[in-house]
Amino acid sequence: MRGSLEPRRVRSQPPPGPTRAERRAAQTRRSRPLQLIAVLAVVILLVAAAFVFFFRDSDDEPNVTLSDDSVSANLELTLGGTANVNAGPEVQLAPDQANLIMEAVGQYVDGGLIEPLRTGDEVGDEVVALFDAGAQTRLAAGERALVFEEGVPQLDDDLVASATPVILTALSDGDGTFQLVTALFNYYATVPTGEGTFDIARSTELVFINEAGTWKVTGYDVTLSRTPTAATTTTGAAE
Amino acid sequence: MTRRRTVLWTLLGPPLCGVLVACLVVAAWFVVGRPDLAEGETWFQIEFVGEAHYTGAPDQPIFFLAIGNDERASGPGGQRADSIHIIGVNPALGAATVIGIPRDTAVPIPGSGTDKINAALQYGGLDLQVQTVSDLVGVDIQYALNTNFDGFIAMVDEMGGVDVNVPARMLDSDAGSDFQPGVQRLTGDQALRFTRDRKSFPSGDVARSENQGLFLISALSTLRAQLTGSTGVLTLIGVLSRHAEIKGMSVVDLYRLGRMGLFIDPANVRNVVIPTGGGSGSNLAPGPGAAELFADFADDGVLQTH
Repeated sequence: MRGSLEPRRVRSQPPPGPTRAERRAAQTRRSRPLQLIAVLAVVILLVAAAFVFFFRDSDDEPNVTLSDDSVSANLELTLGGTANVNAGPEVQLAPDQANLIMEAVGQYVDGGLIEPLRTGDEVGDEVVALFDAGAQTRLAAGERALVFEEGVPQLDDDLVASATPVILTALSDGDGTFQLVTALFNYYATVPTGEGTFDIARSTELVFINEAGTWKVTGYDVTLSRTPTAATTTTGAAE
Repeated sequence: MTRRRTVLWTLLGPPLCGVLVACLVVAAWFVVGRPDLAEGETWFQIEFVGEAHYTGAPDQPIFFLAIGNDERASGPGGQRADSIHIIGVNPALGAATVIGIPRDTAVPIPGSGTDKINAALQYGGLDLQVQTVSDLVGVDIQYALNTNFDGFIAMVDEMGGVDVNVPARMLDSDAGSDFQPGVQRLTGDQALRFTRDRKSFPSGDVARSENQGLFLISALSTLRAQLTGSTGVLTLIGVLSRHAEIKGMSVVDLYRLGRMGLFIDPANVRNVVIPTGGGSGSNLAPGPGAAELFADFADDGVLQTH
């Protein structure tokens, strides 16, 4: 009886239902969207990180290099070098700023020195606008003919012009912001005109000031000579 | 018919001949070329040499205070103004005046009663020093520069030295001076010794103040010989900014004032020391004539009657 009364050890049977493989497959089906979302999130994060990296990189160090191209359409006018003078922290003039200043130098040479010879006209307003208000006042007071090639005979043949490479010297203030930049170069031209050929030699130092992000000429030192070309002048006592 | 032809030739002949001759001359010009010039003759009149300069510098008189203080790396020091010079520049006249004020001159210092003028720097920094000198002289001092021993030495050295015409034998063991009279280029260290020497002269601090003014004018001469144009001035600004406290001036102001200063011929710069009287040695007071000197100076930065 005892034996019959003992509870019978019953080996538990798994409930009827899907097998382990089936459950795994089902789980896999359920988690696939999550996996896709995770992969997508990772991809988005990677793209965002790359974007931030490259974007920040372009902010800190603009992907601009110093141009060695001529900034004049008429002659070889290139940057010869840049020197930095720091009143505060040690900083260097950014290439894009140097390029902007060189462009202004090129506009001055083309528009202020060569174009008036070609046309016989006064220098255009866009060239005068390269100068700040104080310098424009000084120009208007009587120095235009020195700073520009105004009032000289008009070209009647090809102009031959050249210039030394432009040396920039940049001054930063106590905060490391560049406030003034000098551009120093010499310019030479042989100018055939209806009244004969003459040579121009200019020693030019333009001082640029940063006016709200635009570089304007706030000072200048110009030494100028216009002389008859040697071949058309004789020297010595008349016979 | 013959008569009509004759009349026609009479009327038209001369003009036609003129035109013909002109055509022949022009043709000859192109074929042969223009005639040779006689020696000494210039073919055309374009010959010009000129200069144009613009710096944006002020055109009104300005007043500037230059201070050399006694702060040093080793030694007592503090920040008392050992060398005090007010400089007036008149751009229109192309002239300037350097007025030295001996450091032991007793003057009213705003907020501190009467004390030696050099103490103002210690009491209230460069602002109080400027105010004290402004009140004494009766001018509005817009700009000021203050340097110490090390800054002064470094400035002179970075300028490459200063050519000074030493006025007399100078030998002062306290200042470290040992100079023979005559022109010599002083290094920064030598310049400091030269400008500190007061025991080589019977008039002590007054002679020292005069020599400090002489040194300033000598520095102007040296810089004018070395710096041509704006690029050199920018370099000088870098030197000043690294070694001096500057008041009232941005680097742009420094550029404009520097250019203006370098246009002044040193021969047009007067160097005077204020008259002192009452007291002696290290206890001076502005003497008779000081008020008149200040009045002469204050109106346009140069001295007309002194």
